This record gives sequence, structure tokens and C-alpha cells, in this order.
Amino acid sequence: MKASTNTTIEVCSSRYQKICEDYTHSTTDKIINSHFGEFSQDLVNTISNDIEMFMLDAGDKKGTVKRMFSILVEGLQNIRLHGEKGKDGHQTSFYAIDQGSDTYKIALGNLIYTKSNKNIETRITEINKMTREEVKGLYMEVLTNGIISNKGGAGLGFITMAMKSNNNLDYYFDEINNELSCFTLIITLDRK
Amino acid sequence: MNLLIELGKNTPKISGDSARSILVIEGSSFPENVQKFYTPINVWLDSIAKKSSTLNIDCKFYYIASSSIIAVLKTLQYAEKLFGSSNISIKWRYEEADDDIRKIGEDFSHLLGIEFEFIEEPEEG
Repeated sequence: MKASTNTTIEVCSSRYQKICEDYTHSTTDKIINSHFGEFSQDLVNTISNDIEMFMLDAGDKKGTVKRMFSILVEGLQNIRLHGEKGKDGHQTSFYAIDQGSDTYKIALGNLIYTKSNKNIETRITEINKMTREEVKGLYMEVLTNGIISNKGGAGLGFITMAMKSNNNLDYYFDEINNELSCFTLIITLDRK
Repeated sequence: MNLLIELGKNTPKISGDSARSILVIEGSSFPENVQKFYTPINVWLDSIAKKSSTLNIDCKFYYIASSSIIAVLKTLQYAEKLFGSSNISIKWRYEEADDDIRKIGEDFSHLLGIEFEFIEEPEEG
């Protein structure tokens, strides 16, 4: 059964709003940037550069800023390369960045095929269980095999985001129907 | 034949000087279609390999996305295949304290079996 356009947007929007509510619940946190809808390559460039400038102005260390830039580019390109389209032909997706006193949280959401949920969850949980050295080992293994898919991905997105954040990757799967789900990835980046 | 790809919003400037047999890559690299972007370098390397037995490569990245990391590694591997590891000299520049970019160079050096010259440079801007 195909999801109606409304159902697809409602499910994604509901998750997006829930995340935004969580991020604004605390008085010490604020959302510094967010977007719901499609992402063009130009928007990816603009967001990445704007956040870099914002963080430098906020006094974050250059290393933290570069790691954020890396996470954002990997995450937003993941959305563009791997985000599926809804019935309306649009790549419904979103992102939000929460600035807390100790951490940044980056939420990235996009449509995926429901049949992929299990594989994605397995990949993330495997990475989360690994030590830093094991993640680096996996990175070197993928680098050695060096395959760039037809979509332009290299299979290093989750690994790179885990390495840059040095924290576990959190995620949600919101099933729209047996064809499509809304997948949300949450990356936490320490500001120290 | 010289090679020149101007600096883009998400792509590095690439210049190849045939007379000096030197390839310079400088900037950030996160194009979506990495294979298309880096292919002209291989074409240029083919032309240089016919005239020169040695190659100098000079890289300075500010940021490099994971797909670009693989594309650059493949380019370096292709150069190694054409010239042989002992005939390639690679300078790997990085901004002061940018350990991430330095580590990418170290990984490449390890995978290629070529010793890189690492050069730390002052931050720009």
C-alpha cells in the first residue's frame, strides 16, 4: 500500500516537531538552525558554511567546528544521496541543530524503504558497540576496499560521523507503511 | 598539456604543470559526484606519464568528505601505478593543529606505502 503524501509528511513532521520540542524544552538549549523539506546541494553548502561561522562566533574551538562541518556534510549528503522520495516525488527530509552548554545535537531525518530499517539499525548498533580503535579499523577496511557507489556514496558516512562525534549514534525509525519509513539519526558532538 | 580546475564552492583548485610534472590540489572537497570531478586528473596523469618518469604531488585540504577521501586515494593509487612508488614525491600540507587532515595523509601514506612529507602551516583567516 502506498502512503499518501499527507501521511508521509505527517509522520516526518511529527518526528521533526518532537525533536524541536525536546531541544527547546531546556532553557540552556536552543535550536541554531533547522530545515524541513528538500535539500539542494547549494543549501547543503550554505548550511555548512553558516554553521561554521556561527560556531566560530560562539567561541567553539576550531577542531570542534571542523568536526561539526564534517558531520553536517556527511549527514546532509547522506540525505541527498540516500533519501527516498515520497509518493509526491519529493525527498521529504529535515534537520535541526541544538546548541546546549556542553554539546551540540544534530538531528537528520529522511525517508528510507522500510525493508532497509533492519540493515541500517544493525550497521549503527555494530558501530556503537565498537571501541574507537575498532571504528578506525573498520574505516581503514572500507578505505582499502575503496568503492564509490553509483549514487556517489562511499559507505563511510555513519563511520565518519561516529569518528567525528566520538559518541554513540542515536536513531529513530518511524514506519509510515510497509514501503516507507522516516529514519532519524541523532549525532552528539561535545563542545569541550 | 596543463590541467586547471578552478576553486569551487565545494571543490578544490587543481592544477597540473606538465613541464615541472607537478600536481597541486588545494581547498575543500565535498562534491556529490566525486568520480566525475576527479577523473580529469587521471587523464592528465596519463599524458604526463608518457613524458616524465617522476611526479610531484602537493596537497592541502581544509576539509575533505568521506567520498572524496576515497576518490583522492584512488587518484594517488593510479599515479603510483603509472610512475611507481619510488618515483612519486607527495607533500601533504595541513593547517596548524588540524589532526584530522594530517591523519588522512598518514592513512594514505600507510595504504600507498609511500612516505609523505607532512607540512604544518599557519591557519588562514
